[in-house]
Amino acid sequence: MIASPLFVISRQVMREAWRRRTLPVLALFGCGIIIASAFLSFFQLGTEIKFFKDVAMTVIFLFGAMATLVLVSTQLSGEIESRTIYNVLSKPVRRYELVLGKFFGATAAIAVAVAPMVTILMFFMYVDQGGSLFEAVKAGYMLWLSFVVLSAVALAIASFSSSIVCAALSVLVYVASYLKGAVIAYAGMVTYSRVAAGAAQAFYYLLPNFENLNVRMAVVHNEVVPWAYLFRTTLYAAALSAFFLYLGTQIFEEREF
Amino acid sequence: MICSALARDFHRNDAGGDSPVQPVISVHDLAKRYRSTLRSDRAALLGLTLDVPRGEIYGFLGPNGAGKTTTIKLLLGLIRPTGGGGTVLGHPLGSVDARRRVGFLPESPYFYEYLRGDELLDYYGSLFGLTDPVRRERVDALLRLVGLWEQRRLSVRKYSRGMLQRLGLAQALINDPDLVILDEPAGGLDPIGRREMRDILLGLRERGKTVFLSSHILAEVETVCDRVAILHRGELVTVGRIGDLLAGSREMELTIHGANGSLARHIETIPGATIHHGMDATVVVVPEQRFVYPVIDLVRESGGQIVSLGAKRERLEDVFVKLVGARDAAGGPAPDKNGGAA
Repeated sequence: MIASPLFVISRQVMREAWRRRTLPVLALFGCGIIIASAFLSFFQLGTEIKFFKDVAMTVIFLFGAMATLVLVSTQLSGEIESRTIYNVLSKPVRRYELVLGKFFGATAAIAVAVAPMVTILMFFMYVDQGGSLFEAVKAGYMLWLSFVVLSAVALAIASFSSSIVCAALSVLVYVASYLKGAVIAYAGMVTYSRVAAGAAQAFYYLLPNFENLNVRMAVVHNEVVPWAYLFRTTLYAAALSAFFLYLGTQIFEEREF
Repeated sequence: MICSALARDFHRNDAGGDSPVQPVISVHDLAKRYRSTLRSDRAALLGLTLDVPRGEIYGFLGPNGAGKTTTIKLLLGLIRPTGGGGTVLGHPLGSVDARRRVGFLPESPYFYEYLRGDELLDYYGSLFGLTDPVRRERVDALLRLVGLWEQRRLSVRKYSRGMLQRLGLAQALINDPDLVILDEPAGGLDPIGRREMRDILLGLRERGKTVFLSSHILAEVETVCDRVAILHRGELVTVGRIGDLLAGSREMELTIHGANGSLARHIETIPGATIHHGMDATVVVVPEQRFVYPVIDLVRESGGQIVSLGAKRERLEDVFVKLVGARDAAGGPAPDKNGGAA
């Protein structure tokens, strides 16, 4: 079977994620904490399952984000820093294939890392009859979507920066994206300046809205995430990812090694 | 033997836009300037024009910072020229079609340390779109060819510098390339490794492949290359067949036993004569044949003995030092060794 460079690179990223052990270790830690929280929630009389679901979703969110940042920020910049890029780009590989291959490989590896944590969450929900398992899958999927967008953002940053700068900037963007609603509300409250309000607006629309992809509380409170919302947010995540990947490939295309 | 096995087993890559008479590499006025600060830039390559014929081992020489690696990066599309252009195997510089038929060994190659030797070659083979059976066959043949068969299941992390160099050569040959570009291939290799490398390069030439070899080890270049180009400060100093470059000297060399101090003093009065005192012999080099006779007379008179006499065989290193040194001294282009413009 002849595989396209994009597929070959994606498979290589998955193999790297597994061999370097960072991702499996993070996933293992995450699973451990979720299991421990299942037993600790016993002390939360009356709200055991809510407490457990809250902790488990937070753990998936934190460990998934960490895994994404660790994996993606070392992909493109790591190739350049370790000079392995010469061996790849001297082969019949187009630069955009390298960027997209890294993206698809990383997002697949992150899905594999997040899946056991979601499975454990579902197992304990099933045992305690603590809500719809399907909603847990939806929440896991939405979290993964946020990691997909984060991967695209990190790759766009990696296309012009070093691994460390990429990791730092990606964290900054991620945190700022979660806080942006609060920032614009604060800006609206404290300033009457049009410029400041405009800047706050620009900031709001420029950064991805990760809060749209956050349905943790819906799972905790046994709310149903509508299919239409799921579909809309999937489109939103796909559009955002495409935008940042386009940006990344364009910058990477111009880069010299 | 392994080379012939590879030749038999590998499928030829005959697809391409180039003709057999067309140079494998052809660049014209190729220039590259690097921006060092916002307002200034540094010239790495100043209008290089070069044609590399098919089926030859082509030496690309120059001191550090001459622009050799820059040229290679331009050929592969890792960087973009700021002037001029060219073709590789009939395709534009750095195009995917050209890279499909090129093998490249970078200087001091680095690889994914979490992979094993055989996995690494398999990965690079996949990037060329080779099918599973072809890949397996080539990986095995190449690991045997470069002497890493026993260490194939070892993590690349545990490879020595010389082993990495061998692995680098193997990955450069995974696609059975028509053009092999090697940047300092002998770096880190022991004498046996260098000899094996030389045999591999000669084997490639026998199979009609073109090798573009950038190296500092001039003795190796002299042994294997058909033609060389010497680059200095981004400019081409000279280009030609090794035989032509080394045939230009008219110097004569005499080896003398029993030369005393007064003989040496007398010889030094001959214009252009140089004396090198060895442990048990003295070597005298005179610029032309007509100066040989006065030296013979002087040796006879002093009671010394002439052990050998012949035309001085110039080494590539001598030519290199002479040309590059002349350029350094003049601060501009050195004259071509054969009298032509550089």
